[in-house]
Amino acid sequence: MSGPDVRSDASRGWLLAAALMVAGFTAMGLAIPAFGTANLALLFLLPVVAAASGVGRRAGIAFALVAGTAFNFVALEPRLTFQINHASDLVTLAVYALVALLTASVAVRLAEAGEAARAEARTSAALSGLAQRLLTQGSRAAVLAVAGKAMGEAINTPCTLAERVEDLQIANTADDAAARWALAHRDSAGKGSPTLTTASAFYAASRAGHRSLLVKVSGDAPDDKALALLRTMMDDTADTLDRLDLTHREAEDRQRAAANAMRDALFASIGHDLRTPLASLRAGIETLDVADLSKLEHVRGDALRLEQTLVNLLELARLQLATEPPAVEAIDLTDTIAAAVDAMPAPVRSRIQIDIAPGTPLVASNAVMLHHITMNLIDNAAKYSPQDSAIGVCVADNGLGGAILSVVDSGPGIGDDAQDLFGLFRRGKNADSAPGSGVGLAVVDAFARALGHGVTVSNRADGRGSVFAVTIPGVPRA
Amino acid sequence: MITAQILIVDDEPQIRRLLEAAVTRGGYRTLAAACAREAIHLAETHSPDGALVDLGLPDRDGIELVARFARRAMAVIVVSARDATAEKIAALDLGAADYVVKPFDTDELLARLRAALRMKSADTEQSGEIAFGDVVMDFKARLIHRQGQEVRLAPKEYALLELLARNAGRVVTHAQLLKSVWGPAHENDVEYLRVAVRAIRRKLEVDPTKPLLIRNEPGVGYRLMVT
Repeated sequence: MSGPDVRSDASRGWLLAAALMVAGFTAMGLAIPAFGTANLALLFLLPVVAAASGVGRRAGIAFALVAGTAFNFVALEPRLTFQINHASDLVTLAVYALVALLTASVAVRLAEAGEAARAEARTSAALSGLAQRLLTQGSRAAVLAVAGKAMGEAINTPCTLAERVEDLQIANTADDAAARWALAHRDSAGKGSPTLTTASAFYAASRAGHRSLLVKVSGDAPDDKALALLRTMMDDTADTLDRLDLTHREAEDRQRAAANAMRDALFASIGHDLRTPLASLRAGIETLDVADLSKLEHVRGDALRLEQTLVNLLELARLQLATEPPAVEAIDLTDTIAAAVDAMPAPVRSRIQIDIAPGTPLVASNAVMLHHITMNLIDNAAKYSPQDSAIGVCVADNGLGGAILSVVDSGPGIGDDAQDLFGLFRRGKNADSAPGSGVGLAVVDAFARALGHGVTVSNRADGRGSVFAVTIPGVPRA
Repeated sequence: MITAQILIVDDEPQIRRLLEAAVTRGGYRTLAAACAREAIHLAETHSPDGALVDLGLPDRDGIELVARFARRAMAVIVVSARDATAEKIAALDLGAADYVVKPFDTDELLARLRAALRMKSADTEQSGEIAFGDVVMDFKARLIHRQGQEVRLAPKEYALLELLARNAGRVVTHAQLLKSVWGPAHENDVEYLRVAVRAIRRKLEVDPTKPLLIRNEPGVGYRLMVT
């Protein structure tokens, strides 16, 4: 509750009490003949209660005295004088005054109890509201900012909360000393405290918890109750910070573990994919017979494979370093497939059968990334299926304005490790003897993810190979 | 006829030797430079017909040579280890006839070089007709015949094909095609281009789903193939 409100409440109390008093006078003056003094005497208790509960104990007493005097003036014979004729009237007046005083004090106590209950409710509301709000903050700075603001609202004076003195941005040495003293002693210091009183603000540190927080109160020093509230709020905030730390550490641990697993898998793939053709190259060169150049074709194939792995690695690195999402444009999958097929070595090219359904819509994708996806899927199909077996590259409408690009092979099909095939860049269980393509599928997976295209792998319906399918959305209608 | 002379610019001696051997095998005379300064000097003193330019030169970026040589009406082919799409587009827009990424296939490189030189000579004689596949395009009469039958193209389709045909064998970037056929405001409306290319293919390709005449280089542009 703020200062102006308190004042206006008190003046309302005074006003109400005075109005009731005047009303009492009037009623008594008019109505005595009809109702008699005893009943009307009670009327004068109303302003007393109003003053006592609305303003305070002293006002209550003052009104009790005024009411007594007024009762004498209006109701006791001789009326409209302050004289008292009968001894019994003196007793009446004395009893009346006593009743008025007691009423005032009861009213005051009731009002105080009510105020205490309201203050209690405000405090617990402030605390529970704070706990709720702190839970939703993602960073330490946000937690401190929100808690500081809540503390300021709770004690009605601007507060700043920090973990270190440096974060409070203190300009003068007196305040700096007070802040440091408060934090070091886990106590309060500065303006309005017993220590270092020349500071311009009040500083208090939290006492509980292994992390001490420091609050700067810019304004009047808080009273004991407010200080206790601030400390409770600081403790709650410290708890939240601890929890936040733990959550972050857990998330980091999880991320690190996932990154480690990914890196290990990638290195294993790269090692395999680079070493195999290199070993083959060396063997080929060492046994090269100038008279028999047929081996040269193998050497060339190995060099090409090395190159493809290198390109894939570079593309992966490029994607990882990219700061912007890939640019998307309208693409005719006819172009994508023709370019990918063109990039294949002649023996693979001759195995490809293209089947594009007529009227297939244009799709929205990134031409270069889709090119690499397609090349790697064809490359994968070529590696994991018998030499000279057909590789189907098909495009069909997906029924949603987009298209499905699928690559169908006649290989052994996929085992039950279909998910791993992409996720961990591993070569499938059925692929032990084939030249590696772990990195190739990693590129397919990473690029499809970056573009938001779905990739699925399944066995052919006739069980004679596998199908890798990429679902690509259509071009948005203008 | 005097054989064409090709300037080879690459700072790697091994690559330079490989290129020299390949170009000589293709029947051309060669000049070789290891840096931009030397290349500029040779271009000015010998006026070669074409150049194979590496972008990563020790003294300055090869892309500067591309613009300079293109202004001299040389057929410039970039031979670079840089494979970023943006770099390809920049080189093509500056007037390079083609862009070949290292490591390259020497036969492929020679084919590109032949196409670039032919385009250059076609430029100079202002040829009025071009044949590709079973198609003959007559620029003056604005007529296209396929296997002797006239083929009708929509005006935009014709303009697009004419631009590709005048640059036959070389990649014309998407932006260049869109700008000159649809206007500068439509430089990014790739969808127009895709739809028009589809329509042309339906009328001219043997199998529109396996295009042999109009080929796309992903993210870069279209090329009309001439044999």
